Amino acid sequence: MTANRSGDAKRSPGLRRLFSPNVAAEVDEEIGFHIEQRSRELVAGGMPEAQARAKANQEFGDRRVIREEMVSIDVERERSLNRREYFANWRQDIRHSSRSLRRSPLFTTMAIACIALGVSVATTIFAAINSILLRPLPFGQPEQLAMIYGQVKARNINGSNISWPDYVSWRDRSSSFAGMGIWTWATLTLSGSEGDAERVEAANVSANIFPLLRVRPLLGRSFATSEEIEGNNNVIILSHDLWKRRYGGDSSILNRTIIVDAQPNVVIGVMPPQFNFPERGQAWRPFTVNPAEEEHGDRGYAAALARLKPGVSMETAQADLLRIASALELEFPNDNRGWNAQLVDMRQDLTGDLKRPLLLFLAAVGFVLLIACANVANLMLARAATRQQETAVRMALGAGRGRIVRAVLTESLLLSFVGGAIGLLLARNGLQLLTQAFPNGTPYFFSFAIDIPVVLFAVAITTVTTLLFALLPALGAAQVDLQTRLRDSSRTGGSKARGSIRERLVIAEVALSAMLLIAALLLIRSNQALLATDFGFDKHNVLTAQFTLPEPRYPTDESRSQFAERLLSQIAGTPGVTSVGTARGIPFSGWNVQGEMSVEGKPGRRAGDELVVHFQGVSPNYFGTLRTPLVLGRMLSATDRDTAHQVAVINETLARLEFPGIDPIGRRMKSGSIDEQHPWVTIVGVVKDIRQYQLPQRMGPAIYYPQPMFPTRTQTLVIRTAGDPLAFVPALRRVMKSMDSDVPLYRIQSLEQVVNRSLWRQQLQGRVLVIFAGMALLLAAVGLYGMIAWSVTQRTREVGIRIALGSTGLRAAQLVFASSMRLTIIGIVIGTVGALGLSRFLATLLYEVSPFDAIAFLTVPFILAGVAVLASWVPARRAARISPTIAMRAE
Amino acid sequence: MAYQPSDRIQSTLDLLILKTLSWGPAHGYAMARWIEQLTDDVFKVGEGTLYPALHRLESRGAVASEWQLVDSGRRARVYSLTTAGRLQLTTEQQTWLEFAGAVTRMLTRTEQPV
Repeated sequence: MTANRSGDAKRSPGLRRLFSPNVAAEVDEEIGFHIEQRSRELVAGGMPEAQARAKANQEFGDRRVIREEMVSIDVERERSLNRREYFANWRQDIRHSSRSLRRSPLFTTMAIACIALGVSVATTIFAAINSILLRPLPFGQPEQLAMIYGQVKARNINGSNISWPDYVSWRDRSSSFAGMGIWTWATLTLSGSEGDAERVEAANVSANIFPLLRVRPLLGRSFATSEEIEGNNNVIILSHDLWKRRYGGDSSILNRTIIVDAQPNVVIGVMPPQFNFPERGQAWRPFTVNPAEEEHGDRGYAAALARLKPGVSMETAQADLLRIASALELEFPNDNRGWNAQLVDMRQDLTGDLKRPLLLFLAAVGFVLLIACANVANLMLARAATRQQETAVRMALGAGRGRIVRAVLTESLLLSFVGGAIGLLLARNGLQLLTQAFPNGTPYFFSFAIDIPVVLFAVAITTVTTLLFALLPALGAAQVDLQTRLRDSSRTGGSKARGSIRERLVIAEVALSAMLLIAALLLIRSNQALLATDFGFDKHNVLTAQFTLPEPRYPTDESRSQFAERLLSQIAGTPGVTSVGTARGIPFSGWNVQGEMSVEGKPGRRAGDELVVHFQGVSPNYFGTLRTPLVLGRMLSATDRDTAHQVAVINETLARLEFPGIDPIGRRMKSGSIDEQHPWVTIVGVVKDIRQYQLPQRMGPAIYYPQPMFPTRTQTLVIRTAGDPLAFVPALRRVMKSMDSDVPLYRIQSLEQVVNRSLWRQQLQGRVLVIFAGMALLLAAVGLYGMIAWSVTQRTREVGIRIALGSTGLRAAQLVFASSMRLTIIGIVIGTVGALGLSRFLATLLYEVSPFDAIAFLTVPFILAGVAVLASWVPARRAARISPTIAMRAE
Repeated sequence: MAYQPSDRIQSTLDLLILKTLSWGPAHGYAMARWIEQLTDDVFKVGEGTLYPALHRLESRGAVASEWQLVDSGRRARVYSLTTAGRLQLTTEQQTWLEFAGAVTRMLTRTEQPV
């Protein structure tokens, strides 16, 4: 009889016997045997027992050392055996799994597709979040950088332009900043022998801007402080892209003179690749002002850029600025009352409103991923059910539960590895799609790329989803009851418990889809409402351009309005122009100036409850050019210049608020409170509301004065053209040059561009959500189909018996429909209730759509029910055609 | 394969073990007795060192072991040569004989070579 112990290691399952307790005992037994044999032999030779034992021990040597050496050899051996066995098992599992996956291509394809879909959307959105919110900005120590804007908290004005004297005060009186510069937008026309004249977005920057950003020119140098003076400023720095594109990347460009806005400019530098400032600026010229001309109220410059001193927090710096702004309010009450300096962290400034939609997308992605997991789990469960007999056989042949669980896990890992890899590849396409959502390409500081953090995220998300979808089936598989399984074969189909897990998964899937679809539909409807907003003007075929009259040459209102009138008539006389007008600030330009007003015959209002009205001066044909309809009375006319009897046009909102049910024509209003000594202004007309502000901000009351009463130095032209408005730019420049070549034209863009730039973030949101909603629907359909098809297969025998007993195929199909509809309806009800709870959080993102919008809440259940019907169609038809004889034999 | 001096005792012991087992399975005690007898007590390391050597050979797959009941009624760990061990014995025996022959020739030489 032999006791084979050493063979044990080969059979012991995996890690459980990593450290065998038998090793030491066996070594002791072996040594003991040796000593005993020897002493017995010595005793047989006539030696006394005790002496014999001592001699045996002595002959053996140092027993302790030898024992230890043997144990360590054996332990090491056990370990390596176990390791080898472990890996051999994995290899076997992988071979086995990939073979069995290949044998069921439909299951494999569906599972991989679900994983790939989930991983790709999650990775795409994460890549966007990574590049927009996480990756450091491409400046030296970007966390110290911030923009400073004007702000009037009381009137909810944020991110407003700034004035030169305000900037100088902030710069010189603050103690929180290592440096501060100023910049403003510019649009430059490049002409000359290098190619066709072209406009580029540009900026005028103070000499310290690039050093503050810690970005050095690739070639040449930055601006010098001496170049900030008018006359010394005929120098230009080019972006890398512009240099490559227009000047062929020729490094002899340095010190060459190029024609910029018809003036010779010397190229002094080229910036490194991927650098733009601001978002899309491609060329830079020095920022110049004549300080004597600038007042605190001339808020016409883009912003200040500041770098915090090391160790100074944004909060400290903001408090510092607030202190200075408060002092300025007292010193310059006319220009500065209410005005604060708003410090905006650089990332916040660059990414702006993107954070909220991105986090929203992330939430949506979470839903899609959960649905995908439920789907795959469901498919795996169905598969496990059909393989119960195989599992039982394997267990009967000695495979441990651990091994069975591991086999299921291996299969899941294989699926998720392939699905994850495909998902990662698809994410590249997803990013391209997302890139296209940006109207002018992604700005340079969001370089959408699949980099290491993104790949790590994809791996992590794949692993997590694998665990989520594989856990249930794996645990289920190990709980197979050997006896019943082997005896009953698979005739009864899946166990009751497993069936109910699967049903719950389908219900969860439908519920999650319902929630996501309702949320998406709410946002899509909100987006549609946004796009369908009646702006109150026709944005097509309108060119807009700002001009600013130099103060010394146009010191009086009279000279300014004469210039404007001559300019308008010149432009109107140019071929291709249908109509032309000017305003101080056109819609969506950021212009937002409001003041208190009073209505004749109405009592004075309490402080804090003043009537605050948007106002500006417009030329007579401004509304005509924008095609804003007149509602009552008349438009302004060229003859409205009697300063003693001033007239104005108001918008519908003002008419509705202050003159409800009353004809406002002929009524009088004045600026300031009722007691102030401002002249009365007679209302001559009411125009439709113009949406002036970035949506969703609503238009408030507004009043428009005739231009001669408000001949501001800066005005914006609106020119309606017969054809492409941008094609009119050269002609416009010629007109301006012929009138006064020193008056700059800038921010030249079509009205459509102005509007689209203001809306693109909302549009992006809408487009991405449509994609997510589509995915959720698709996944839900796949999930329902999988579940119902599986249950029909499982019930083939039952249906067969029913048909044999006189039921019809139609009844069988109805049965299938009924069970699928039951799950769908439960899922829809849960999902709708969930969506009701969730939509509260969406309320702030919705525009003119109620968070309990009936259309969204009623449409989605119908869509899902429709999908459920479609998903049950094929299985139901199969059930209807079940032949009883075949069904009975089927198993 | 050339013998390094530091390896020699260990390798020699391994070789002797393999040789012993080439006659058939045996437990450690029997092997110790045979080696003593056949080397005329020349090879007198502590008997105990035989066992780590055996276990090491087992780790390398040259020998296999199993527990068997012996005449006394006790369990003894009985070793036997594996195919790999047999192969090792053949090659190492050859190397050893060549080595020993060369050393012997050198040591028994009486004249200085020209």
